[in-house]
Amino acid sequence: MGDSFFGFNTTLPRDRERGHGEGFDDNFFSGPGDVNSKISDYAARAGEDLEIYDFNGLRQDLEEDDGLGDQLVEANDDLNDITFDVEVSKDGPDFDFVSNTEDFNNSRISENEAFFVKPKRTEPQQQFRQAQPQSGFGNYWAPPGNNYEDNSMNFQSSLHRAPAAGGRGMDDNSPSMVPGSIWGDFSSPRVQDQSYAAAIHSQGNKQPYLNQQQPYGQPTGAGHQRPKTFEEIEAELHRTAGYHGQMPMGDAQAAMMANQGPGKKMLTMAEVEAALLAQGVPPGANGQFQQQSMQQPPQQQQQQQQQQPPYGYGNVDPAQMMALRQQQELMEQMSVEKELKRREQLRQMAEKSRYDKLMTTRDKDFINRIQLQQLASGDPFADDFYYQVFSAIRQRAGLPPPGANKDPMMEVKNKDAGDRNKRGNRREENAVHKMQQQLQRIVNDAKRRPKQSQLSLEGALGKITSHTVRNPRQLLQVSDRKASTQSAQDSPELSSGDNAPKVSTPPRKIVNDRKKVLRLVEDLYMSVLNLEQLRRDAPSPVARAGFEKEHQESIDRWNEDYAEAINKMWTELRIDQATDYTQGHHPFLSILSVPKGKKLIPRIARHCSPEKIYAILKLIVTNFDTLKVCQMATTNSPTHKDQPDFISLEDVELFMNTVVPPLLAYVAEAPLSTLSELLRLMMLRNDVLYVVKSKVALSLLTMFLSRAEILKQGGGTLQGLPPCSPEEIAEWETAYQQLYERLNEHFLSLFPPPVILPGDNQAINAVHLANNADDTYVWQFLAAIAVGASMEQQHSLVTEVRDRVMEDIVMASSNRLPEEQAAHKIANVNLFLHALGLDASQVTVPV
Amino acid sequence: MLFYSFFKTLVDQTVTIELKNDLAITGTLVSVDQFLNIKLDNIKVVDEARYPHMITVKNCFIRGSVVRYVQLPSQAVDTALLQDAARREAAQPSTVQQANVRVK
Amino acid sequence: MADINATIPDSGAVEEPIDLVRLSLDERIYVKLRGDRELRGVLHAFDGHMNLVLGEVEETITLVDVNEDTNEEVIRIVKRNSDMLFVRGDGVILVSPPSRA
Repeated sequence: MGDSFFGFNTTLPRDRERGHGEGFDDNFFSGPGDVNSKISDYAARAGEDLEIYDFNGLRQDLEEDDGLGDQLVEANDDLNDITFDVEVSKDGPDFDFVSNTEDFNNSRISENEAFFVKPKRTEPQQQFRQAQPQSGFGNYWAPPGNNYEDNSMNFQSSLHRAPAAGGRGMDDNSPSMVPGSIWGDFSSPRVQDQSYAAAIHSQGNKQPYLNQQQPYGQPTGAGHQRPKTFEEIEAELHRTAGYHGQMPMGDAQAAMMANQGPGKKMLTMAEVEAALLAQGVPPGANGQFQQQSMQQPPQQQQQQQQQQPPYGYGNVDPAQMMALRQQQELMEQMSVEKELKRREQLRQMAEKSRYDKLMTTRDKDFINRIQLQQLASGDPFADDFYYQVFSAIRQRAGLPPPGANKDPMMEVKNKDAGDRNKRGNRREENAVHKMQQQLQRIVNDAKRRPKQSQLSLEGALGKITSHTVRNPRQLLQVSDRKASTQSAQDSPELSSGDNAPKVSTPPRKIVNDRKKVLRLVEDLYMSVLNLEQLRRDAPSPVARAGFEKEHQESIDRWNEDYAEAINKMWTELRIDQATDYTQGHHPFLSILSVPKGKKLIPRIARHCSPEKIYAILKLIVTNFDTLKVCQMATTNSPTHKDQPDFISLEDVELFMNTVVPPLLAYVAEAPLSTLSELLRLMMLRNDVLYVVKSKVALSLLTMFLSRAEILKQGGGTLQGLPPCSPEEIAEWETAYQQLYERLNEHFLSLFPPPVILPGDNQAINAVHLANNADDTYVWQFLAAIAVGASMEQQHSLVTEVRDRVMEDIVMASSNRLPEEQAAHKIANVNLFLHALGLDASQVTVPV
Repeated sequence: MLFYSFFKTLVDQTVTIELKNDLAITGTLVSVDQFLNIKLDNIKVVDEARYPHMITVKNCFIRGSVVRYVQLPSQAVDTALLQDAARREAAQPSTVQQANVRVK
Repeated sequence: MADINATIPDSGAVEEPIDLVRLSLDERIYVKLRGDRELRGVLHAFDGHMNLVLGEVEETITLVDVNEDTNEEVIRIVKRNSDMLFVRGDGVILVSPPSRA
């Protein structure tokens, strides 16, 4: 900051005058190593308060490392040897910038010599300066305030270059920045101050300058400031003007600035901020500084300017000298800072490398394993189940995984397929791949071992308890009631298994409480999830070469686990449990009563053998009338007078879509004897007329009938089944006849009841009925029954449903229905008519 | 981790996040982390008249803890799978507990 | 349907509170939230923080407007629906099966 520079330096002549010492001598910074001693030395000599030039503060500042120091360009040092004419390489990275600079200075002229002791020597330098007025800082400083932003930037960049350019560059540049044209122009110091200060600020040297500024805060307090008379100011103006005469460039610029007047050069706060921002320094960081500089009234600044005039150094402009010193100091400080930083780095490196090679790679690997063992589950499904499965499903569907390009944490597969390849970043990819492989290996190892929550290491006193995310430190000692009840629960269940005498199963086991049902279903879900996980973990069918035996073992082990899991699930299904009608529902049927129970059936069926499916089917058929979908669907039954509500319809659909398909798949391969058995059970255990009013029952019956028809006609041979024996056929025929007899004269009641809407417009209701109730399944059933029926049975069947057939055909051929629905109706009717060898087109519609 | 896993599948989907201060922001889900902090792109504040200062904001990071709701596109959610994931998640602590009891 | 709870103490007993929530998966639940909000919807997911994903949600917000002139409190109920909703767990007060009423 210019102010502080001025302040710093203006004390010099004064101090010298009063014999307090020589101010800062040039050796001050020559050795960064003993800076502190120099400080104290100087402080003693100057008799000044050490606080002001507190180098500890500076050091602290440097060590705190506000990051600004990092902006220094530390590269480009390779030209140093050229610059300094010294063999730098022998110094290596420890190149001592400062002392080299000093050497250089000594070899030419020291600053003391140049400016203090032998003023004559400055002549050639001035000439030199005149020869090159355009280069160096002069240019940067010369343009007026409006360009300050550029200036400071340039200035900063030249500061950056400065170390590389070395002492010579400084000598060349610094004098030219001095020209009195600026320093002498009282109206503009603030502009320069600020841009210059901003530049310095960005170097991270805030503290010392702020400290130096303090004397200005209390200019009278210092006491040696002789108030200037107006004449003196004028004289000084003249002198500086005269000095300008030697520098045409600078003069012109000064004139320009003078013309612009002081007002224009005052910077607004915003401008300063903008300048700082442009340099990448947050304005807040400089808040203190800005305030200080802004708070100083212009008058005071003028006073400061007035203090600058030299005290008899011939032609040498003290401002020039001071600027040079400032330059030098800045350089020194940068060097000190750099040096400190470098040493710090070295120290840290040494610190780190102190324990190098103490652990072998194996040791490290061992530690890694211990840590990973606790951390990595190795199972991406454990922590990331949803994402993994979701992605897998999407990939199977040919879609990109969600957010494929965005990289969530650890998706190994996706990453490889992702955008990496596009970049062709082979090496990086390989490294990543290698690391993943290594991790995979470690994780696999860890998986093989059982998870330990305690470790007893060799030589360790006691055991180390390791806690992980999954196994946190236990805060409460809660007795494990779950485990004990679990075992208690298991025993009766075991006895209810296949081999146990069924009598011993208490009928009380039947669950009818909703919460219990939900619990049952959730337990089942857990079993199924476990099964599915097992499936996923199934060993690959192909053995690795040389590991056939191990592979076979793992397959056997897996098969055992799988069978066990299936048994567990089967036990939970409670299919084999006896039904006690006095108590209500069979537990399995109560599972079917909740939507999620129904949804589970297909997933269970996937793990079930045909025998198990048959058991399920048998259970459903046997207990059909207690099935909830049956009860809800048969709405005009004696027990359910209510209209079917929306939910129940949904429920039936869900049942049809989830539970029925696996059963259908079984029936499609069942032999005839099984079908007869099922049909008999259905009629034996249920009130057929009640049951068949439900869509589900009718669909099941249709399945049986049509499958039986296929078998009777020899379709079973295609599936490798032996042709039906006459006994089987006879058995089936008996069952069929029974069914027909029961349903005869009730066929019309199979059709779903019309949905009665409020309002008495019958036409609308009819349309509504046509829209709502899809009776396809009824026609399908009628067709199935018609196919197996004898001629007279067919005749009576047709007689019974004729009205319905006619009704539908009439409605379809009238214009009251949309075309689509009409076609649908005809198709439905044709289902039935075709079974009889007829067609809807043969029916004449009465007009 | 369940919901982290879940939200990862919703990347690139358009969601509406309602914050506890009633501000609701619609945008494309860019990323999510384990704290359920969320990055959104192409955002639009639902009630722009009430929050005019948000009009110029085009993307944002939302700290997970200030979220009240996230409205999701239901077609992007596999509910059956999500329920399974929740079951697995619920099952995990209990296994930990078992392990803990063994440790004592 | 006879109550047989007493006869089977073990099956269906809930050991941990969160198990009760698990039973409600894929079922409609009622959620009470901070700020006089209530939700009814199908529970699709939950975790230990009571973060939830609900489907077919109906949200009920109870607002109390104070009439400045009369100082009377006017209770206003706002309802909103949404298809699929993630609910941050820190706002959840209680989760329960919906009342049968």
